Amino acid sequence: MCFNSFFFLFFFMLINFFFFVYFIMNGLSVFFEWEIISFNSMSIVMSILLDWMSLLFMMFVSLISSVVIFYSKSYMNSELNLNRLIILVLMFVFSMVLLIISPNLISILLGWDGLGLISYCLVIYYQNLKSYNAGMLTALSNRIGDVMILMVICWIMNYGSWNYIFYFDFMKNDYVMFIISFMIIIAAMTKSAQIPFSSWLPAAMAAPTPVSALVHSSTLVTAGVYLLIRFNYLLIDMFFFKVLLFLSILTMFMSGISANYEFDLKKIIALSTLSQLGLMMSILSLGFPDIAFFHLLTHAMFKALLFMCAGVIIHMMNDIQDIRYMGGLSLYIPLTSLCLNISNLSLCGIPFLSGFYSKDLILEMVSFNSFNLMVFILFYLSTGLTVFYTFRLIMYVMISDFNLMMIYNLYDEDYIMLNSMFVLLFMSLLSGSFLSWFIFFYPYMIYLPFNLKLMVIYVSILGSILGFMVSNMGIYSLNKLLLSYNLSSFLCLMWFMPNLSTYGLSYIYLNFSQILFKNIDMGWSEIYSGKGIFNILKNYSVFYNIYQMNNFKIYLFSFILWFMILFIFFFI
Amino acid sequence: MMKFLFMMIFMIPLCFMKNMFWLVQMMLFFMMFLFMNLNLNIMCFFNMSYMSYCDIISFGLILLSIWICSLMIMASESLFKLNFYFNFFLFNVIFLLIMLYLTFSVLNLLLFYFFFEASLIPTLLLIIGWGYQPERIQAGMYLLFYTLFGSLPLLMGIIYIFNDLNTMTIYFLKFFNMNMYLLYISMIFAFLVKMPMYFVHLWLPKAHVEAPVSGSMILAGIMLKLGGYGLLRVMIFLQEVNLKLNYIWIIISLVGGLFISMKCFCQVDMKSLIAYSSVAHMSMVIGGIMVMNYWGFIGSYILMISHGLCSSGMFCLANINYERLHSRSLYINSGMMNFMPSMSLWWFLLLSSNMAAPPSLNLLGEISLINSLVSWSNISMILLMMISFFSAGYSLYLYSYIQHGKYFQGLYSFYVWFISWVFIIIFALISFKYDNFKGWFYFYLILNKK
Amino acid sequence: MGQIMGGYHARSVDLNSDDNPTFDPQAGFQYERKQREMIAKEEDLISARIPNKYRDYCAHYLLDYQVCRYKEMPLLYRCAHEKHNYLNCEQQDYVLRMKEFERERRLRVRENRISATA
Repeated sequence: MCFNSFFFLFFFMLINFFFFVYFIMNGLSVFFEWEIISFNSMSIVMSILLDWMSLLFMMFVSLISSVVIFYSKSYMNSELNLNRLIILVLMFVFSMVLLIISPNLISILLGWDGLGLISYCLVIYYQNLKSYNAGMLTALSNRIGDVMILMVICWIMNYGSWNYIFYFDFMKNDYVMFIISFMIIIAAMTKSAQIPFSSWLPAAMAAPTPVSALVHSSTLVTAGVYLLIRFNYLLIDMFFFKVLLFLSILTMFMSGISANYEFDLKKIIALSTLSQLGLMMSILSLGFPDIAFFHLLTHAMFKALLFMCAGVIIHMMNDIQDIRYMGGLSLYIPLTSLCLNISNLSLCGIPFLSGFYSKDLILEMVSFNSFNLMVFILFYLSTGLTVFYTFRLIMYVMISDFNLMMIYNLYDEDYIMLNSMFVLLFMSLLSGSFLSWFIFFYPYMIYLPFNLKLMVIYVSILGSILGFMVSNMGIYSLNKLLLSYNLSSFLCLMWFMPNLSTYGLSYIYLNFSQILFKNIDMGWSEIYSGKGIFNILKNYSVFYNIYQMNNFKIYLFSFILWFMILFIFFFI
Repeated sequence: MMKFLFMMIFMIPLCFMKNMFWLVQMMLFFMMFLFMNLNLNIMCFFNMSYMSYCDIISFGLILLSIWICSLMIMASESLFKLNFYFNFFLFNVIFLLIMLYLTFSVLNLLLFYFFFEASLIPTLLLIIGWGYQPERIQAGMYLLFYTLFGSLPLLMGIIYIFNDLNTMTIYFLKFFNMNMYLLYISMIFAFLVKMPMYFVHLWLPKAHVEAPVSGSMILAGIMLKLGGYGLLRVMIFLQEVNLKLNYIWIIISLVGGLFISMKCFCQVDMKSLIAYSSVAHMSMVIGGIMVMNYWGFIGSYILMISHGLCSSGMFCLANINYERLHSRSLYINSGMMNFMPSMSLWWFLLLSSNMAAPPSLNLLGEISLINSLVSWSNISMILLMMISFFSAGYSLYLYSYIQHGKYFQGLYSFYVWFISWVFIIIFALISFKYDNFKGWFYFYLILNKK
Repeated sequence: MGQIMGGYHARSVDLNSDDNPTFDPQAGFQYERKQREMIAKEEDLISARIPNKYRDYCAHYLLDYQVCRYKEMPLLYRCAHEKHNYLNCEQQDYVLRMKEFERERRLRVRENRISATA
């Protein structure tokens, strides 16, 4: 099953690649339409839009998913129900492809809802309590976005069809478009885990590692960014885009800080994904959709690679994910640590790896165009924080001493996993330059003073020095930690957002529903129907029983009384 | 049409013969396929005779009722195995099917009322006869008296219409316009109680929970839709009054739907949770019919059919768990994926259809209903957002509680054997979607001919 | 970022970045200044479907770059020369515009000084 789906997806990737090159050469885009139902002048159509952006994204998605399925052949070979996982992953890829190729809101809803549900099934795949809670959080956060898209479907009915791409240039200043843009931005924020909704992404690390590599690095979380890239012409002058800018740079900053306090390997990688998502959303909301798309693609490559390396390490450490137990692994697993290093350095933006092209371009565009001081500071600070936690991770995992046990088996020769990682390594090295040639039809001119241009390097060097120092220093020992306990817990626990999404919400609603149930359904509704009428009738019957069972003459007299009343009312 | 009536009447002696349980069920399947192949003229009524007719709404609902009755018999095979008065059970089911068939296919309003009430009797007998707990007596009382309380004014209304218009043929009613408030309330109150609307919904959790699986299936599948069918027929001549007063019913049902969705979270009984989710779906259906949009009618019809299939399926699944663990409580029914992984797939498919996930028919109905309700008023958007979100919440709550996690440590013995009929419901879910809906435009014309 | 910090000097004479020059173009120059002209023809730009914001004074280099892209696809590294020409032209255009801005600012400062002493 694994090999079949790997070959199918790889073949699909090659087809997409050839079509992408053909389409981008000739500036072609193809639009298929199939009308399903037509009600009262609105038609529900299934449309497929194939232009270079969707073909390129489909190529990347199918490449990563084929490599991940091949990887999970070896990673999850002790799983009895592996076929179930592979089928779920294939359905996930299908939903993602449906989302990518659709210019029509109904088919986007099909893909979007499908993504949310299938990622729920994937996250709860291991049946323990942590996966259960994480799955619920994931599904309900994604559901908010689904509901928003349902409402957008309803509002865009005002324009006569659900093909949103036709309406952007004409309807920009409408009230309806204002509402639609607000809801689309919230939907994209829930899917891409921006600030109010960002607690599901670290929690979703309870999923199996190949699933995390596919879902949480490159496909599910970028669906929101992709939707906003498609909607970009609509949203560019709207007020909410500035709100999105604000929230996404705060996300970038917050997750960078929280990753520095984390000790779980997958959580650090999840928070770094969150930071890069904030970066993508912020450069999108500054008005550069193609750079956001570029960063989306290169990030997918090296993040999937990073997750896969983390998977190998977790396997070797006997399923322990805590980085305090790891160390010195570069001596034992050279090939895996090669992949880990290259993906980490690509994440930092080290020159001429793939991450450099996208990240450096983003930072230069931010410096060149005149934006806010806060935007500038937070961008550079977050870049420095990225380097900081990356180097801290490298120090903990690869350079310090090995902390696990005396007897170990650090085994690198699993060639199935290694081959899949090498494919991504190759792409992670080359895709940066490759994409930067293709995607930018009109090159960006950037003219910066010398020190501003080197600011990235200054910040990176500062971050790396801090990273090395912090992993050696003892500030995590107890006596120093308690001095800044409040600040540390605020920064470490992701600014208390998981509490907002879990304890804060669930207790209020469950309490309220209990109150509703007890007071209305088993209270007043019963009194005014069912039980109340029963009690009234019973009491009246008791009264009449007493009345009738006592004196027969009084009972007979009541008949005469009735006759007199009827006589008075009807004949006078 | 008479042919189906006679086929059902002649199945009655078949119920009382020996070992005919599966034959009766096969006959019902056969009748379903025969009925599906009727020459369906979607534009108008067809197969008209003195008493009976069929149009697209009746066709869909009769099809649904035959389907669910045959699945009811299949689901209750434990009655056959344990030899627990299955003859009378089969007779009950066939009698109920005859009453339902006649309800949906008669042309006369008084006959419609007669069969509407008559379908309550076999349901009551099912609940009281084959139910499990002693609370079923109270459940039967609630079912009967709530419906009767609502439908006696309906009888008065029908007789008033006969006195005024000298006709009770449903086909002719669209030419008239009765503008009386009292007539309006008396006509629709019965259907609102049957639907059920929020404040008069108390019979539904009791009746669904106490009924055996067949009773629950037919209640969730068809009996609620009787109310919707009645509303769709009766709204034709009450349009003006409705446009003045519909905001009351829409607001009660939408806010009620929100409250009911929240109440689903604190249910401990599986069947009770599914029953409350039925009320939440039906609240949206009421809203859709009351706004008097074309999209509202279409959405409510689609949601009625898909909800009938989906809820009946979920009650079947709840019964599968009940037969094995003898408890409907969520605490005992957890971690079932370890024992019955294939059931996990069916639970997931049906629960995801319940929360209107694509590609189910519920999604189409909900999109249409959301469109029509938001076009009526912008503010209903907030209520609808919360109803959709909470429906996902409780569906996933039910799914994850039942399937995942640890199983209850007190399970002693357990037998697992696979019943292969639930997937037929799924095929029905998908196959109904591609019906020929182009004729809806003509239905609209007929509906609004003035 | 320097646009923000150093923008005080421009804001103090009421000069924003999208204002047009208000003084005589020839004032203060010894030699004759020529009007800039577009080298690329309009029908070429229209037929190449170049978006409106890129149809500036460097569009002829852009057209050469697009032609080279189409010819050399997919080995786009071979177009580095044309891309370099285009980016150079854009940079010189940017420097020219910065200089115009600075000239405008200084002329306004001078005008304020003259009207303050007068």
